[in-house]
Amino acid sequence: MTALPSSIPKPCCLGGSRMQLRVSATARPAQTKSATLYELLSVEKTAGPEEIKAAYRVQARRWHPDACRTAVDKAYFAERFMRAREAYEVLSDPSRRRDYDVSLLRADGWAIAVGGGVVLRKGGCAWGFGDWVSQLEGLKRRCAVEEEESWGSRMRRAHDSKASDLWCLLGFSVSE
Amino acid sequence: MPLWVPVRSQVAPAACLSPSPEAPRALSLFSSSSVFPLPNSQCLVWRTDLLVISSFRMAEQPYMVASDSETTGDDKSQSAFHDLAIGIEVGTSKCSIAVWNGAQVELLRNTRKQKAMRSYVMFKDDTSTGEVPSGGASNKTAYEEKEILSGSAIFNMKRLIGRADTDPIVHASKNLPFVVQTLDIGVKPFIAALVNNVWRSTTPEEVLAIFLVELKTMAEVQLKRPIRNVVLTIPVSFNRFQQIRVERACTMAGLHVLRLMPEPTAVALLYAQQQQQQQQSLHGSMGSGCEKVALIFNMGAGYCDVATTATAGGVSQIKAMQGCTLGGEDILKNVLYHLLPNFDSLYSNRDMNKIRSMGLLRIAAQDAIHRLSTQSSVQINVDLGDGTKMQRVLHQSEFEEVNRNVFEICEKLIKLCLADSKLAAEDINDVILVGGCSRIPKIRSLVLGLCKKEKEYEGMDALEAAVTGAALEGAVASGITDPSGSLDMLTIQATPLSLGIRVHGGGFVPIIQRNTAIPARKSMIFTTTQDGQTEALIVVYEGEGKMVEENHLMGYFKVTAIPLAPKGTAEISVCMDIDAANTLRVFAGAMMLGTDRANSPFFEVRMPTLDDAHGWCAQALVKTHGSALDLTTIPKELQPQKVQ
Repeated sequence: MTALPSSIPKPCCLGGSRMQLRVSATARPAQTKSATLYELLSVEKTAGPEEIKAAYRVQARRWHPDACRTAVDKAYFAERFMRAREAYEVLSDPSRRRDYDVSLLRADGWAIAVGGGVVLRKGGCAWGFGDWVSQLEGLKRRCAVEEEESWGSRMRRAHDSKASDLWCLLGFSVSE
Repeated sequence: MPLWVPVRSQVAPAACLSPSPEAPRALSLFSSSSVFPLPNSQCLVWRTDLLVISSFRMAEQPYMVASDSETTGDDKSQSAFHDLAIGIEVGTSKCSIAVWNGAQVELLRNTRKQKAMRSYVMFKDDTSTGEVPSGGASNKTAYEEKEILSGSAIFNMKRLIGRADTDPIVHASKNLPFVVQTLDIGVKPFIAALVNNVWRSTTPEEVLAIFLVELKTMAEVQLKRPIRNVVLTIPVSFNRFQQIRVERACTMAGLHVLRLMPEPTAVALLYAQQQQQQQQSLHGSMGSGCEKVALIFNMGAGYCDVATTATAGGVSQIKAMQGCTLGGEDILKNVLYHLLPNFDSLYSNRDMNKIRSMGLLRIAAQDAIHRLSTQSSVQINVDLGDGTKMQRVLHQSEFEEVNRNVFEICEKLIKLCLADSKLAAEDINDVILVGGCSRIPKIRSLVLGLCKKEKEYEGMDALEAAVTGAALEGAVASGITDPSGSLDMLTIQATPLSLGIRVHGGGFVPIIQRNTAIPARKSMIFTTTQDGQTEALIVVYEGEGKMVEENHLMGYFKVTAIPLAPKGTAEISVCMDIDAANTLRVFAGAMMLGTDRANSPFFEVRMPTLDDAHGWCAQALVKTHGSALDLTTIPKELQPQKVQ
């Protein structure tokens, strides 16, 4: 995936995790999956708190916009920095990390099929680049706000707009 | 000819300069220049369109004037430092300038060899000017301080800038010798200085601009090069509105603000550098080293800031910041009211004699406070003229009792800051005390006590730490590298204040919480409060209050094309983005029903959009639109949790 370092993040990134609702409900091959938080910080899943902190600092040095000398790339750097930051925030908080680890495990296989039955601990981490959490969130939300159309119709439509989806996930839009 | 160059990431336009040696050139270049005679011999030159540009700056890409005459560098070594940003700390009472000299940070001295110069501008007899060329008055030369307190000088501009006349701080400034008038309608206060027995009006920005011009000229003479880029320190509690005002004053003075840095974060940078050097000398190499956590307490004449920082391997992360408008000025006021309980009624009419005696009393009280830092009691002897003399002893215990509220607020700030940063006293390695008020014994013991430390961090000058840090940041931001690695540093800043929008009922919903690392982007979904509501007002506020009235209005805009739907079903996404240059952008738009796609193009608004009269705007909006355009939140568990 080549990111397009356009200057300003376009509002298409606004939907946050809900963008990922459009991803097909069947488990996707591992390669197309977004990087895990561990991958973002380049640490093993077994990494200890100090290791995570140090890894975050390395990422910050690499991607903080202040470390970027070309104005054009600043927005891309900011994007990368914010991701590393988010990853650090989750992984440095023991309870959020535990929840995230669970979500990673589940996302690996059966979770989506039974996702609707899983209840998240209140205030727990409904976060991550894994898809099922956001799908679950989406479902819950749809239930709460009286559906106007079916889940399936949205999924079908979502399929059609996959291309723009990619940019959304990256947080960038194509430059004119 | 000057070229207009769009600058992507930078902050303010740099343009004209005035009473510097280059003034004639600036004038000749700008055909449309206006020359504004200020209430003294100085003229601030500014282009008529510059004002347009500086307000334009808030909403659009900023532009900067680049004069080609300046880009022809001499030799390489000089050109490296050609655009090196200097660090400036304009304090409420004192001010200093520092610059990276190639090996370390050096503070500049004025003609009287002072590093800390009194911050004020004298408006007098149409001849004299601000302070710098003649040097800041030290507290020992009472004559000059007396002059400053004669009503002809404006000082404390840092406490006044960017505040409306409803602000309690502006009201408290009414006991100063110059005129501060308020009408309590949420507009800029009227301030005036006494010139030839006439009160002449000015504005805090104008005063700051004049002062900055003097500083700039002084630095240019000493460094023998034009100065354009600056890193300026500001208090933690400065809202974006105040920051804009400071930037504008810099623009008027021909300075380009590379960064506005909260004072404790400048101190944190200096601390990070010292730690790195220490670890280098210990281990011989640049390792990531172990993490050190410091609490920085900074209290000057006008503001009190607390911050915690974690630093390792040259990377420092600001964990939390707290600040408020509290400082030596408040302590002085408490002492004045203690010495003369009828202070207000005595000085309500401003005749010359009263102003003079008020000035004398201020000097005596200030001197007493300073001496109480080392003595347990002081004798105050002051002849106030018109037959009244004050002779009494002020004890330290009395002083501490009178200022109990000040110490209580300090304590609260530190506790809040520790809680925000999720730190216990035991986690703190170092306690750094900076600013003039950190010399007060009670404050030292209070801070050290709360952090459970025997002694404070040594190796920093309490009055020079912030400006030194600003100069370091200036060097880092100017892209200067140092072979010893002492500029190989990164500070991850945090937002000192929460940013959010107004919801139905006047509540404030933060979207970016305070102490979020910058750059940051967060979004939230809101919904309508009326059936068939097609438009919604996004009213952006900054602050910590639960209700919007307690916070600062930054601006507003309307989201249109919300699909027709019963109330509570339409979705409006609001996203806030702060980039590394601390620019705030708000994106908002309505989603198509039941989808994740925008119904129509989103809005992108750079904040603040407001200029003056912001007190009125909020009321006017409510009056005109009621709750017809209101938004409300959706339950937390239904919010998208991820930032991207």
